[in-house]
This record gives sequence, C-alpha cells and structure tokens, in this order.
Amino acid sequence: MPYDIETLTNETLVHVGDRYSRYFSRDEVKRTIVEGYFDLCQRARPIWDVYMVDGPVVAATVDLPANLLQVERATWDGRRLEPLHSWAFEKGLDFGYQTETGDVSAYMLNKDGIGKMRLYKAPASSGPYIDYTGSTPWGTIRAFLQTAVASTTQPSPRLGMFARMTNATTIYPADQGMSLSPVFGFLQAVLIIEGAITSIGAFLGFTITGTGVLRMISGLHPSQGVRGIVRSFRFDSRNLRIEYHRRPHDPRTYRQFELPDYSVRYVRHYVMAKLYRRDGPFQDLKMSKSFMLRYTNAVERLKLRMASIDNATHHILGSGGGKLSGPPLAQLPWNYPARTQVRRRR
Amino acid sequence: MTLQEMREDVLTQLGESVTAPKFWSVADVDAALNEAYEDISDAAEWLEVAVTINLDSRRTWYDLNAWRLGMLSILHFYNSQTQEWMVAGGVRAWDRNQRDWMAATGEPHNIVRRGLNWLGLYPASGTVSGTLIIHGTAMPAAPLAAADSPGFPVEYHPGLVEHALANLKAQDHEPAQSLAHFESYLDYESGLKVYLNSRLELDKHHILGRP
Repeated sequence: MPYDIETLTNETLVHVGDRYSRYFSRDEVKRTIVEGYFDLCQRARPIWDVYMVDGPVVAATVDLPANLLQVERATWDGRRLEPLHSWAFEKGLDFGYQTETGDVSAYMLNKDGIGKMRLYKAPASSGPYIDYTGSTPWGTIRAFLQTAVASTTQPSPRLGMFARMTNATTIYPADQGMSLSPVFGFLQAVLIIEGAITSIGAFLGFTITGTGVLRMISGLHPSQGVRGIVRSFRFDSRNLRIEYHRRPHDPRTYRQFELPDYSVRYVRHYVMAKLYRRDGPFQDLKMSKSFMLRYTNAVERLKLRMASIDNATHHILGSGGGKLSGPPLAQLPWNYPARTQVRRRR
Repeated sequence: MTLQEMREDVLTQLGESVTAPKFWSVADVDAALNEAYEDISDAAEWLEVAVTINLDSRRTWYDLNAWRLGMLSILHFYNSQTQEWMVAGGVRAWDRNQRDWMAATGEPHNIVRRGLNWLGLYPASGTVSGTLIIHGTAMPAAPLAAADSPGFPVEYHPGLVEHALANLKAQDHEPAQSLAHFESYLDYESGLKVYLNSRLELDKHHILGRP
C-alpha cells in the first residue's frame, strides 16, 4: 500500500493501542514520524540526488543545497573533481588557491562553512544557463527563446500552462527543432541535461506527443524528486554538478514518502519506540527498547541491501575490489621546506 | 498453512471463537498476519525474482522506485542484447578510466547503484530498444487471501502466527506477552534465513583450504 503520512499515523496509533488518538495526539505522532524519517535517511543515506547551480558559476565558493547530507561526487564540465582539504594547498600545493582562476579541478568543504563548497580554481568563465531575469518565480515554463549560446532569456510573465513552443527558428542552432504535438499538459520536474551540452538547441531534436504530464526526456535527469513542474533546465557544460545524499522532503508537505513502502515501516518502529518511552500510562521501556532494536537492525539491513550490488563485481586476483587509489597529490620536491616564506631585508 | 488456518490459530490463542470472534475482528487478524508476512519477507528475502526493464536512449539513471518493483536486494544484471552479465562497478573506477563517461553511449556493460532507488548504466544505451533483466529479491506482490499460503517452507509458517500475536497483544496493552511472542517469531525468522543460505551445503564438496 503506498504510504502517506496520514496512513502511517493511523497505523502507528493502532499499533500502539491508541486507535482513537485519546492519549497521543496526531500532531505528536506526525512530528515523531518526520523525526524518524529524517533519522533513517541520515543513517542509511538511501536518497541520492543531483544538484546543479542555477545560474552562472563564476565565484570560487558556491552554496550547497540545504538538504545535503553528504557529497558523493562533484563534477565540472562533466569531469570528476578531486576532493581535497585546504591544508593540501596551504602546505605547498598552491598558496594562492583562494584567488586563482582557471580550470576547475578540485573542491574543498572546509574553512568556508558547512553550507559552502570552494572550487579550485575559481572558474574563469561559466557555461550556458537559462536566465529568468524579470520573471516571477511562479508558474510553468512557457517558451524557450535562445538568441545566443551563452544564455537565454525567458519571456515574462511565466504564469499559466505551457501551451506551445513558438517560432522554432528562434531556437539555436536554427536547424535543431522542437515540436510539441499536441500541446497540452505540463513539463514535469527539474530536468538536468547530461553530457557536453552547450545550448538548448544542441539536444532539442525530439517530438513530444500525447497529453498529460511530461515525465522524462531521454538524456535528462529529474532532480529533487520526480514530482512537480519543470522549473528550469541546467547544463553540464562549464557548470558544477554535485551528486549527493540528501534529506528527504517533509512528508507533511510532499504528501508521500520517497522510500519504498517496506522501508517506511521502519520509521514506524522508531515512532513506537519513542511513544513507549514517553512518560505516562503507556510507558513501557522494554517495548521501547525492543522497537528501537528492530529499527536499528532494519537500518543495517537497508545499508546491506544498497551494497548488495557488489555481488556482481568481478574481482581479479590481487585487486581489492575496485577502490580508487588515484594519482598521488602534487608535492614540492624533497629538498624544499614545507613552507617557503619571503623574508624581508631589514 | 493457509491464511485461514493461521487465522484460526491466532484466534484460538487469543481466546476467541474462530467462527464469531467478539473482540478481534477477522480483518484485524488478517491484517496482522499479512504484516507478519511482509516483515518476514523483508528480513529473510526468500522471494527471488527476475524483472525486465526497458532501456531508454541516452539515459544513464533509472529510478527503481518508479516501477514499483518492490525489489529488496538487486544482485545480478543481464543485458538481453549483448547476452552478457553486467559487471557492477563504481563511478570512481569509471571516472578513472574515462573522464567523460557520462556522455558515452553504447551497449551497457557496467552497472552501479546510487542510493536505494537509482540504477546507473555505463555506457548509456544509444537506442530506445533493448532490455535489462534484473535478478534479485523482492517483497511478495500481493497480500495473502484466505486460501493462500506463504511461499516459503511450511515449517516457518508458525512464525507468522507468533508475529501476529505479538502485534495484537501490543495493541491490547499486554507488553510482556507481546515481547514473548516476538522473541518466538525471531527464532522462526532466523531459522528461515539459515535455511535460505544453506541450501547447497549438504551436497557441496569442500576443497581443502576453501569453505
């Protein structure tokens, strides 16, 4: 049965023996459900997603998404960035790492705050993006008008249904067309364009047919959940892409859980452990301990399940299973001191 | 044991009439038994399945949740076009071997899982045709009806009765009995896991130095 938070709340109240919510309020149960849901995702990290910066990336530091739990991989222009600690640069790799511009090859997550990522080097130029200057933040995308490779401007206002692509010759390059037939429905989700795309026109060679909500376009990845309305297109070219484990959307507003139903039940174990621990006539510490044990065992099971794909790995004699060693970090020759200081003559 | 038989067992142990229960309804007991069935299936992963998914052109990431496959562990992958078993890898190895692998298209021969729901192929399929067969374990598709039996050996069916009793006793504010029944259920659950993992053991020839 597909779970939503109301269903899970009802189930929890039945299982704890307070079917009519006479002792535990529904709000309390829902709050605890959300707490358990976030805890499960923090421990097991089951939700993987992709984030790309909206707009040009020209600064050395970028803001990380607010729902980020852990960065798994970052790319620039489709190529992996090396994760480094700032001391690698401070010890001699590049003393001017905070101000250098050029090709981006690495990133750091320390020194600039929890919600920031620093790129090395700061990008010299940005890639193509869609500029919504002058548009309200609401509504659906109405049309694509691109007049240059570097950027494109959406018409304003953006309210209303996406009705028709007008004037295919305004799409760049002119020989790449896009047609929608018929023209009803909404574009679905935020779509990230993979690969070395330099303009919207470079990939727009498809025809959309049928009515209803557009769910997927080949080559495009829906980010931040598969529900909702298309808000923007983002490109890999000369742009930062962060693949990360994220916090789930709040089920009180997102309406459904983002995990399979069997794993949503693990959240119920957490909630029951908390409810049984609460002071009052329902308190039973042994039951609380039992349910918390069920919860922690279930979390471990979920982690093992995500790793089960390793069974399909081929191990070659002498290899350890494909762990990346990578090239060594660049270092100054042995006869240079750890830090070179310029001494002023007195 | 069929669901009907397990239901009668539960009602008997609850002190209810099997034909006209008063306090616990038949629906309550069936719901508890089906929940027990899901829990033991989740823990033991007894149901082995093979599902086929269609490949899309230039699509690297496939959302397993979107198909509602109910899959638990995914273990082996078969490319129907090339007729080869795919190799699981990590994106780090792909980054090392080909830095722009995300833009590559061709017949997929490597696979990776990101998080719980996303399956990644390398290279991405270059055509809209083609299928991938995923072998793994899954949850049972449908709850048990009165004449249905769980798909695992009958020796472990009483575990569902114990789990249902633990559930119903907890609802009835009988924590000590609930915990006792749950402990009994755990014995059946671990027994089923051992059975599933040791199906080859009796006939296997052990070579010196290897298990």
